[in-house]
Parts: sequence; C-alpha cells; structure tokens
Amino acid sequence: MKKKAISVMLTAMLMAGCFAAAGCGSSSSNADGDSASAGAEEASSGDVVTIKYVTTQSSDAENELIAAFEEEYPNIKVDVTEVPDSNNAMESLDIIAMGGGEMDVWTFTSGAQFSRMQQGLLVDLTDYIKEDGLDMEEWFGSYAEWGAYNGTYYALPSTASVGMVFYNKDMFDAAGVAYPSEDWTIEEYKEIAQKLTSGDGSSRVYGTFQNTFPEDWGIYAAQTTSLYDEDGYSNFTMDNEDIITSLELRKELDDAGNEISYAANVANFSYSSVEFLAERCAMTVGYSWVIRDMKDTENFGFDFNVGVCYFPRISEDAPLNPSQVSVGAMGIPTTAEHPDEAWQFIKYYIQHGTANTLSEGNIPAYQGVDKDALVDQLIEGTPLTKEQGELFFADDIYTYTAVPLGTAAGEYSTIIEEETGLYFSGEQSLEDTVGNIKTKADAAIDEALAEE
Amino acid sequence: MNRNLPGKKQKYGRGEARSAYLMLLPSLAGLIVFMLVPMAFVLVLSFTKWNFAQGLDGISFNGIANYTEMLSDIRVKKALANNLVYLLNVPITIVLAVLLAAALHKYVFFKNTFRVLFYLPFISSMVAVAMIFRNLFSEYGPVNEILTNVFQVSDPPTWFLSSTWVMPTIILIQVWHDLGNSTLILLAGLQGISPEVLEAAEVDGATGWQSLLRIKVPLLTPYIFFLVIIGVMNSFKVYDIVKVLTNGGPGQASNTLVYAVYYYGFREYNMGYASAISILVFVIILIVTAVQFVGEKKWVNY
Repeated sequence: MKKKAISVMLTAMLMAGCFAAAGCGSSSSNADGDSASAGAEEASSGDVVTIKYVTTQSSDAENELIAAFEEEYPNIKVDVTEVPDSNNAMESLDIIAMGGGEMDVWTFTSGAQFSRMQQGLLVDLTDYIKEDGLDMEEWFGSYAEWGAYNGTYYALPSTASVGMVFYNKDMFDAAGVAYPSEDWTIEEYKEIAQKLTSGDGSSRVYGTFQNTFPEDWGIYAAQTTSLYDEDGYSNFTMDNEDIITSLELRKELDDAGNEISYAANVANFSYSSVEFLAERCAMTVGYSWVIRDMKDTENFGFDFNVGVCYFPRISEDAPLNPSQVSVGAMGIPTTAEHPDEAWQFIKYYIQHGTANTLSEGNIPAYQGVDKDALVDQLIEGTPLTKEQGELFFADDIYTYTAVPLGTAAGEYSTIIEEETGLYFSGEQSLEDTVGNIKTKADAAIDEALAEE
Repeated sequence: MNRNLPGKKQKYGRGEARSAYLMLLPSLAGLIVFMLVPMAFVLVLSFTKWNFAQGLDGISFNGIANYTEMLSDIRVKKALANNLVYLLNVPITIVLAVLLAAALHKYVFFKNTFRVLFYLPFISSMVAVAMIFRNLFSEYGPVNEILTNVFQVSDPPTWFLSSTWVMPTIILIQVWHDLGNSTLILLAGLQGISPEVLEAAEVDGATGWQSLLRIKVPLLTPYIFFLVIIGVMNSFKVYDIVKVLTNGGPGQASNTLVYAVYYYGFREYNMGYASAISILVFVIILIVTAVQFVGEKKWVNY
C-alpha cells in the first residue's frame, strides 16, 4: 500500500516536473537559438544590415512600404516579425526588446511609449534629430509631445487615434431630436442620451455608449483640469469640480440606464464600433478606428446615416472642438544592434506610411503630407462626407488626453482604473474613490520621486 | 563462485549507474539550465533593483529593501489574503471527488464514459476554460438567465464583476477544472482496496455511508494527502485564470501573489521586487508543505 502510494506520488511529481521543464525550456532555448543564428547571418552578409522590425499589425500596405524602403536603402534589409495583436501585445514586445538582438524598431500604440521611456528602455533620439535637422514642431505639430519624456525625444509619434462622438442620424430623426450643436456641452449630451434611450431587455437601444478604457471616465475633466496638481501630486480631491463632474457623469448615465453599464461592458469586452454599428446605441464616444470598422462591412455591416462631432465640452469655459487623442510612436530599444539603420527606417516609415496608418483607422501624426488626400483616404468606403472627414484633421481641433503622463504615470493609471471601476460598478462611494486615488497615487508619486 | 558474485554485481552496477546517468544527462542538463539556474538567479535578483531592459549592467543590489517594502505593500497583502481564501478550492474539490469516485466505483453504469467526461476539463487549457466561464457568468449569460427565469432570483450576482463574488466564482471554476483529475486518482485508490475488507464490513452490517466514511476514506488517505499537497501548491501558483477572467479586479478583489509578480515585473518593470515576491511564494509553499508532511503522521494511514 505504502509503496504504491509513493509510486503514484513520485510519478505524478516527475511528470509535473517534466512539463514544467519542457515549458520553461522551449521558450528560453528558442531565444538563444535565434540570437546565435542572427550573429552568423550578419557575419556572412557583408555590408547589408538586417534590421528587425516587430509589429502587431502587419498589412499589405505595410509590406509595400517596406519593399519600397528596401529599394531606396539597398544596404538595409527589414526582417518583419508579427506579434498577435492582443491585450498583452505591448508586453510581448517588452520581452522581445529586453532579450536583446531581436528587435531594432519598437512600435507602440496609444501612449504605451511613455512608461518605456520613463524606464530608460529607449534610445535617446536627440542626436539623430539634430543631425538630420528634423523640426519636430513642423513634422508633428501638437502630436510632437507624444515622442518626448521630460523634454527629451525618445520616439517619433506615428499614429493618432482621434476621439469623436459618432451618432446615428436616423435615430435622431425618428425621435425628432436635433443633432448635437457644434459647441455642445455635457448637459446637452445627457439630455440627448436620455431622449434617445428606448426599449427594454436585450432589445433596448441606449442613448449613448462609452468605452471602458482606463482613461475614458476623464475625457471631460481633462479638457479643463490636469490629473496632477501644481506640486506634481494627484489632483483627485472632492474640491476639484471637473474631476467630480466627469466621474459623476458616467455613473449618472449608467444608473439612469442611458448607456450600457460599466460592468456589462467589462464583461462583454465591448467597444464603440460593436455597439454603435449594430444600432444598439444612438451615440458613442468613439475614436477614428470606428471608421476602420465602418469599412469592414463583413464584420460590421450597417445601414444608417452617420453623424460625427467633437466631444461635448464639460462647461461653457472649456475650449471649443475638444477631442481626446492617443498617439502611438516608434522608437529604438536600447538593446538594438543596428540603431542607425533603425532610425533610417523609422524616419522613412513615418514619412511614407500614411496610407498604412489610415488603413488601420488612425490619423498619421506626420504633418508633412497633403491633408486633402488623407481625408479622401480616410472616408473612402464609408458614408462619411468630406466635411466630416476634415474634422479629424482640422487646425482648430483642441486635442488633449486623460491619460496621466507625469510622475509614476503607470501606477497612477492602474490606481485610477482599479478605483474608478469599483465606483462605476456601485461598490464604492465617490468620496472613498477620490480619497483612495489621492492617497495611493501620492504614495506612488512620492516613491518615484525618492528613486530619482 | 559465490564469493565472486557480490563483486561482479557491484562492478556491473557501477557501469549500469554510469550509463543511467548518461541517459539522464539530457533531461538533467535541461533541468539545471532551465530550472535550477533561473531559480538561483531569481533568488539573487530578489536582493536587487533591476530594470531588465538595461541588461545585466542594470542590476544594483539593494539588500533586503524589497522584502521590507513588501511588509507595507497593500497589493501584496491583498494578494496573500486572496490566496488564502483561494485555498478553499482544495477541500471542496476533495470532498466532491471522494463522493464522485465512490459513486463511479460502484453505483454507476457506463463508468468509463463518465471517467472520460469528468477528466475532460482537466486537460482543457485554463485560458479556454476561463473564457467559457466568462460567458456563462456574464450579466445576461446562461447562469443568470436560469437564476432569474427558473429560480425567480430577482437580483442575481454579477459574479466576477463583484468584489464579493469574484473569489467564489474563481474557486468554482478551479473546482470544476480539477474535479475529474482528483476523482480519477481516488478511483485508482478505491480499486486498490481489497474487496475482502469491504465484504467483511458488509457482513458486519455496515451501511453504505459507514463503509465509505469508516473504511474507504481512511484507506484513501495516502491519495488524499497527495491531492492536498499538489492542490495547495497549485493554489498558491494560481495566475492564468485571474489574468484572463479579471486582471485582478474589480479593484484588487481577485489579485493573487503570482499575479502581483506579473504586475510588478511586467507592468512596473521592477524585476527585483517581482523576484522577491516569487521567493515569498516559494517560502510559503515550502513551509506549508513541510507542515503538511509533519501533520501527515496524524491522519494518513499507509
């Protein structure tokens, strides 16, 4: 009996051990093998340098772009690796970057570059920019700041997702509600959302829809207030009317049933395009990628007239034409083997990759191209008019972000996400939420300051 | 002849041992390179502050700072508390598995079919399982629809979206996942019990329950002990289900130790601190397992 039991135990343990070893082993050995072969390749190919470009979104347009680049720079070959685009794509890239020798060009989506800059994972581009005489202001306009941390450029801004409210004109017409006015505020927004909500259960049509991105609660507050106070600490206090109004607005719309509840959204992984194009809401706080999905008639077939306008303003004092933007960037990891060639590629990609960027539903951050042509490319294959397309490129657009970009930005963002989530799902009072964010964020900021 | 035998046997044995080690070498090398060395490295890292992107030059020793920091870290404390709650999945699984194994052993037709069916969850990927349960337990998912329409529950829980229900939901999924495996191991144990013992009990007038609780369960204790040890270890290592289902939320309600390791390592790039937490997990498992082996003498019958 005893012997038998021990044998069972041992066998199972050994098996567990084998699996564990095999699991760990395969990934590590892979990395080793690749870097070894990369070395051999380099030695045999003489002057031609192969740079490694890792991306989450490979497309035909991009492949053409890379072919054109290789033609123009015959001594540089681009080796493309595609990492599946998932919630953890940015972390997959982190691991590839830290391995060393596996990545020369690092692509980031929606502000993911900042925490990497803060951690010193990216090459300082100052010298490259100076040498090639790049005028960042001219190249990127207001998007330039998305490439810099503490005043130093570590990346070139590539693609911007530009926020807009999309609305279903047919629903407005049917209900006899006027379209949003050009200078509308959240009061008008709330009113419309209320009027356009109808039906019950699974056939309910909601007045509006908001995503559950960590910063989406703050798209109103960030128009007029900063997440950091004058001393660089968290600006979450009950006295900050903008933050309170912004938090309460979402809760209010949720509680009134005028938008799909925060909890339901989290559970369903739902987002603007899905709900809006399936006519489950009359308006949605969306981004330029809704246009990409409009073109994808196979997955998002729809048949109604679409209206587009800027975000509602938090108050009459807020700037006109507000739009939250979130900008991705391209940089060079400090572990890159060919930073010079990577820089050439990034520069080329930014200048010539605008068609590819638009095909992904993003607005190119690069300003040196004819905007008229870009507008045409953006709206092509959608029912949007030229005027509507121009909103995304307008000069008088007021762009801002509700993502914390200062000290301890990553931790601050996590804290906001966790605490506001509890508030929106009704588990925590507004006072506690604001108080907790302030306490926790200040502690994180203090810690970050102590380390500097 | 006789005198030669032991010597010859010994010589032969040495050669055999050598070839045995040679054959073990490939997997042993793998074990050393991919498990023991990284484990030692983690121990070293736990006394450092390391930003992994700066390569090995980025390592700076900071003594036991990581460990002292842990004492005041709310995230780690909450994770530890959640892990302790999560341990509940072990007794629940075992009690259910004993009942199921007893039933499968004796009272059910199509035993083999059921064995396979019960075992299926165990060989399914936890990620896939978590995704399916995510749909089952969503706000208007099948579970809540049944609760509202069949059982007339007016306000069904929001399961993994509520701080109160998220841990019970995760425990439920883990139990469902492990039940088949535990049942199969106990079933093997039951088949090892000699029928004479049970027949003797029957002759003496023992009811089904009595023979289960007084005879079968005590004789199964070595198997149960094995399940407890493995179950507790796995409970402290829970990660995949949390990552897929809740990302530690709502708030930090389902944050666990290994999830905290991931959080600090890959969200805050603090590999030293993440390593220190994994050492903490290791020490906890070591202590708990040691205590179990000591306690074993009190309740396990061989």
